[in-house]
Amino acid sequence: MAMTMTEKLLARAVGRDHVRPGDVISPDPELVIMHDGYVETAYKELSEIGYKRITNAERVMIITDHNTIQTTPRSIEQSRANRRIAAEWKVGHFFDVGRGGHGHIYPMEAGMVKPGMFLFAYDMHCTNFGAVGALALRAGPDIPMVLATGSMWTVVPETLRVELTGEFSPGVHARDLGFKLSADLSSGRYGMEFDHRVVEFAGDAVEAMPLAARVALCNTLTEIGVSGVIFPPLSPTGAAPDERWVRSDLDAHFENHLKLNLADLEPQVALPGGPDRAANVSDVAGRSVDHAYLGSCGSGMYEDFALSASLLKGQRVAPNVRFFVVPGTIAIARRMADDGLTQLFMDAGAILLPAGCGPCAGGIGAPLGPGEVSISTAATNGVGRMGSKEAECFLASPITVTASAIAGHIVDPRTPATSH
Amino acid sequence: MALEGGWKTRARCHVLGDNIPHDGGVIRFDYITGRVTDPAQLIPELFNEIDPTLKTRIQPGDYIVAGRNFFCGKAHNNGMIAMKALGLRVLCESMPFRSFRAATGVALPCLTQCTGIRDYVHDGDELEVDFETGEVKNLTTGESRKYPAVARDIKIIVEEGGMKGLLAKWLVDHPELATLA
Repeated sequence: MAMTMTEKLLARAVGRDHVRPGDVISPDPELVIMHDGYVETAYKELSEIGYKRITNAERVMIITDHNTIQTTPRSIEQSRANRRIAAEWKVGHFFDVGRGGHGHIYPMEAGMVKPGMFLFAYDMHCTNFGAVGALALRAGPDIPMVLATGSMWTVVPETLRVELTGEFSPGVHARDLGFKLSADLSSGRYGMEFDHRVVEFAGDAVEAMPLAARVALCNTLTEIGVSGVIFPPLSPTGAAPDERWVRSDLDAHFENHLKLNLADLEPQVALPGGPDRAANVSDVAGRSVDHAYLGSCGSGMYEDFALSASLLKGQRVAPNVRFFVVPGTIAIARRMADDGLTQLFMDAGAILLPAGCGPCAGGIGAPLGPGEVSISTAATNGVGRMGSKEAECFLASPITVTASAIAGHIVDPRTPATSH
Repeated sequence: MALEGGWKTRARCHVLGDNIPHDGGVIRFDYITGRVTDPAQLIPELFNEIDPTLKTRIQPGDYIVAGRNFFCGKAHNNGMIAMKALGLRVLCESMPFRSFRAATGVALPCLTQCTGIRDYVHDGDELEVDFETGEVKNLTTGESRKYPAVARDIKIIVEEGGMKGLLAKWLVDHPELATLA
């Protein structure tokens, strides 16, 4: 029976020949990931029922990416509790602050999430793992169920296939496509369902797309309510294809098809409120900014920083802007130092923060004050996401964020940026 | 365990519109950020932001009929906890999957594919609904339609009392998990 990639991965995870959209299943994950912010809650819920240990603890990863700067008594207490719980539960993979990096990036970099894997994770942005051809489903507040029983129920989702052709114009980036497609799906422009759907990217443009661009696309579409975003398999560590790499069958059932030409796209911003509030950057060009930030699970890979650095070379961050750079992982930070990128960012007046989520996790390390305007590559931009509820958070690509940090106001990156 | 009242009940219905958000619609937003989960506190606030008079008409066991995208927005469950405590049941045209997960997690019975239900069901009508067959009878008008029934696996979770009930049962069946690793 013909199946999509998603159906194949879920069928394998339940030990069946096939599954169909709508089937209620409890797939067996190869890995279960949770970040530092939910460990205590899950522990409390399970302890109150009487649990003293968890099932398949060796498959569980606890990774500290939210509270990477522990400057409050509460964050220190949480960090201590996480270490104690990780030891008590005997989890297989515990990455404390300063060890691994971002929980949606590090596992790919380390080869722990591979093409063809199925996993559960607490946080919705685990959709990132679709970039390598793995399927991760968000458990959210049901993560105690996964920890206790080894799985949880879900429903096999339908797949929307998006074929990409052409090439991005100069100044246009995969994040721009993510914002535009999020807006066009959530506004109903295409008349296609997206809630609990997997968006599968395919086509010539995808085969040539580097991992960082794939991650940017997976990440940006997440908040509209898709359950997954998936690409054909690609090994981030250069591993050779094996029998676990799967692709959709040519005659698989897709609920809908879309065909998009990358050359048609203009640089976008997401207006404050959500990643799907896309607008052409030219609509808000000139808006003064106080705060810029490059990083997060959507744009925290080495290639994102190399791209930004190439624009920043010989330039200075505008005097009215504090520009924060947050490497996705410790290894990325080290490579940036080895390759001179760190020096370049510092010379330009940017500020480096520890590897992890950065201010997207509630403003940690670089919050916004009332009335301030930020432009960043954060994963999302709801009210109060990065500090003050009276601040405005625009989202954009690494290119637009860097160009705006140099200019001191939001700019169309297709117009050359100049330092003040 | 069984669902209180069984899967087929008769009750009055209250009809709501499309795109009713959970946060700031079903329940006030500051109760979500305040992490209020006590039904006694939540029930007096239920639906106040849509219609402050609605809760005066709602009786335990009633049906909440809604249009598309019921419980939209972030998939919090505080309002669902209040609805479950009142024994309410949901019939809607569609519901975001994350919200359906949350509702199932608190064992709130929902039929989420009742397309066109508001064409023949009106506020205050008496309904007879069988979740196991998907049949929704309007006893006030005599009209009846059939929708996709509750899935077998979802039915089991709701009967067990949602996530907490399932976790308690799992621990009984796996007593080794109550001992230190």
